[in-house]
Amino acid sequence: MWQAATDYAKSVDNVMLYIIAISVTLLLIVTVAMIYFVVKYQRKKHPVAKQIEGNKVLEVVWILVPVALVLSMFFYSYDVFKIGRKVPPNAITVKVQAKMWAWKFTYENGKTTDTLFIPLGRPIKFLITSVDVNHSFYIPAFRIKEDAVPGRENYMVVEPKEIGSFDIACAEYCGLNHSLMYSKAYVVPENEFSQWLNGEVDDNFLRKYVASHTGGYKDYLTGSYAILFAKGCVQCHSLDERKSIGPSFEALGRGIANVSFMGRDTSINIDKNYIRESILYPDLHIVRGYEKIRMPYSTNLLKEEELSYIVDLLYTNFVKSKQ
Amino acid sequence: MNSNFAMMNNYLTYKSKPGILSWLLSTDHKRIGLLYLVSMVVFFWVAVTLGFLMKLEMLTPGKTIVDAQTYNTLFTLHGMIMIFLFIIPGIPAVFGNFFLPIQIGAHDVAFPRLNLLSWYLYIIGGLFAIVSLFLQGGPIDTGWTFYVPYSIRTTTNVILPLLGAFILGFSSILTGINFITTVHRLRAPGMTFFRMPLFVWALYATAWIQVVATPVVGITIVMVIVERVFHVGIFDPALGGDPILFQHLFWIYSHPAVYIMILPAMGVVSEIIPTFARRTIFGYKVIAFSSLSIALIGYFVWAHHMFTSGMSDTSRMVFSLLTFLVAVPSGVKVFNWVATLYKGSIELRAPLIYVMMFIFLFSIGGLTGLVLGSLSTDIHVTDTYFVVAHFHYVMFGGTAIILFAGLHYWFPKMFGKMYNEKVAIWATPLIFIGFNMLYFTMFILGYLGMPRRYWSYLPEYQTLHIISTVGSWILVAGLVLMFGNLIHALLKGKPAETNPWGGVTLEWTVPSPPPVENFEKIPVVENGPYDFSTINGETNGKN
Repeated sequence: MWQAATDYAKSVDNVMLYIIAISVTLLLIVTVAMIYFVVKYQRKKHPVAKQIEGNKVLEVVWILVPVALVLSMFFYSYDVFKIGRKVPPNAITVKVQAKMWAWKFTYENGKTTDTLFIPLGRPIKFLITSVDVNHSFYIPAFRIKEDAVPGRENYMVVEPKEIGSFDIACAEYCGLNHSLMYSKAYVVPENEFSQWLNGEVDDNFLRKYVASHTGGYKDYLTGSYAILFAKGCVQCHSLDERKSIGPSFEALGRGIANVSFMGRDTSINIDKNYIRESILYPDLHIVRGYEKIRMPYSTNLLKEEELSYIVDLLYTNFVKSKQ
Repeated sequence: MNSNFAMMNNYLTYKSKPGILSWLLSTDHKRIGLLYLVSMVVFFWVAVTLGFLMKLEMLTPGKTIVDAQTYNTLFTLHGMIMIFLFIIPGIPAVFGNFFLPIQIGAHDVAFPRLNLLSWYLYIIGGLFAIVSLFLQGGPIDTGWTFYVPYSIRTTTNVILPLLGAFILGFSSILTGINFITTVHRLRAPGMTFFRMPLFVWALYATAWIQVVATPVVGITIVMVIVERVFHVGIFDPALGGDPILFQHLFWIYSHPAVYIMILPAMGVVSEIIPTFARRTIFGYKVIAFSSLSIALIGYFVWAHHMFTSGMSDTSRMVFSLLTFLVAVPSGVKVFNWVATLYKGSIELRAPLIYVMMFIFLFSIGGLTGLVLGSLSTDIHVTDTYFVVAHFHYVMFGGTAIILFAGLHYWFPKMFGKMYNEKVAIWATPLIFIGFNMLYFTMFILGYLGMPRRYWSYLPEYQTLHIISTVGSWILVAGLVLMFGNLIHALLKGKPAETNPWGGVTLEWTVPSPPPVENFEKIPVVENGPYDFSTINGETNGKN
């Protein structure tokens, strides 16, 4: 989670370090002086105080020195900021449209996606807007965000310098599922990006490409679980015991699920039919301890053969293997 | 009223009307101060409970104890109650009401009846917010910032709490007018402006902000209500309005309001340190003028809350520069406070320990404000947990800790009873450790990219969230101990002396608790506020 995937992000980290270094120094001076005085001039040792009303030289010093320090911070930070706002002439444009609670990305040739794919080393100008309430388009690994405001088009520039997949979050409160409004930005080489943009390769090709170039979930992505990553299932359903937004796949291994079904608490045997139903009609059985949240794109996301493949995969690898 | 009568009746036992009415209809500034204190402590604990529940929910990603809608309501109410009902009225309403007239040698504030009306408006405003919880539609879920278009579109009860905030605004304005007039008209003979205690200076600067800035939020709230009810396009682009306009109007008030919250606390610090160091404050005029300059520059920095809203780059630059400049007078105050300890004769009593805790926590709050004033770093951390950490260090570590310090400092004067000081001191490490576990982790979370107002989060943030939640338990334990100790003292405390700490401002010259009329005879002031030469028996006091 500690990634700085653009030159700009590294510059922002440097500004941060500069401000923090000065701040820690000032904090130490103030704290140490305070404690030292309280100990040294305690009433037992120092019964009569010296009445010092002030010192003009000191006052001027500790007004001017902080002014100088904060001005240096301002200029340093502003310089970095200015670079981040410049739109280079070779930038490509991606339109970002936020709505409650999903992202839509539109590329120069009109192609649209809900996951972001961008080329490596090429500046990208995002034109950001919203169709309903305020959102904020935030990519922590790039240290940058810009609000998505209805009726306005804000812009933001990034120039990715690393192949990888990076979280996209919504940073402006937008109601019920604000915290679930995550997506991913996949950075791929320009060549692969153009192939994808022209429809020569599909989303999964780029995902696999990124996975094979980063350590992360390589095995999963090239292995049999690749589809669970490609379809975004693992964003809410973890492959291990970890509790996430939805029940983990590992929990399927218990063979029995405690669920609320039509408003009544009950237990149900986990079989292929249950898994299939849970994907197609996620509201039908709500596993106890979890919320009824609309599982995104559940009905239109999967083709029939993909659905069958996933059902078999989950049943074989999680349910059957435990029996 | 003759002086004998005043001396015989302390303000707590004096009966002007039958039963509880002698409190509810009292125009005595001290009683009104206590009315505020009681109601604020109640609201404070409600909001603490909400915050406690929020932290519990953050123990795990996904649902831990409440669903997303409830969580959104929790943080909205936590923010609204803490800000509008606790921190903004805060120190001025309690200690300002109680001690401003006494510190300048007056019998009461300039408009005692208006003062009582302010309290009633405060309670009515609070009731509006509470009633809205139980009406159809459910409790408000917009966040305390009420950003449009969400606040126009959500189906929850937005109008009633907004009306509540509107009414609270009037309470704040009237208190401001009252204090300004009191300071100008009711100072005792000889009490020149530069002989006023620094707490009075801070209240005076605050009162101007209250009077000048609060009407803006009042008007803004009315516009939101008009837009919701009559669908007039002001802020919602679907109706032809501009959502950024709302943010400007909102922060034109709400940023100066930050100084309404912190300036009085700074004033209290400037009272407590000289008393326990037995020496005059270092740089009296610098501190007094820094309050005024904070109040003034504080008007021109509001848009630093909006660096990512899509403002022009030029505006961002200007507001960033001004924001950096407003940090300086606060820093100068800290330096002067520490310098006041130099060559003092320091007695480390409970109030001073709370003040030392304040200086450390507030410094962290102020210094992390530089990260937020700086454009490139702010764009990364704004609307993340970094901001949440920052304003809790400033508002809780700053204002609330000083409210506690002030309670411990003035408690013997206000109630005529002494609390168990050992217990008060034992509460401080709990509060300090719990506080830093709870909020320092949020700086890290924020820099790692954890956005605020999130009901659920990515699993990699969980470790830090757990530390934070455990911190909240320790903090609450410390608060329970501290408040419990004070309540115990109210019931069973030993009688307090007139001047238990050896303070030299005027409140320490009147009995504990003070008589109804404060002074038998209005004093004639001949010295500056922190002249310890009589207490120390010194002759070479000045240099």
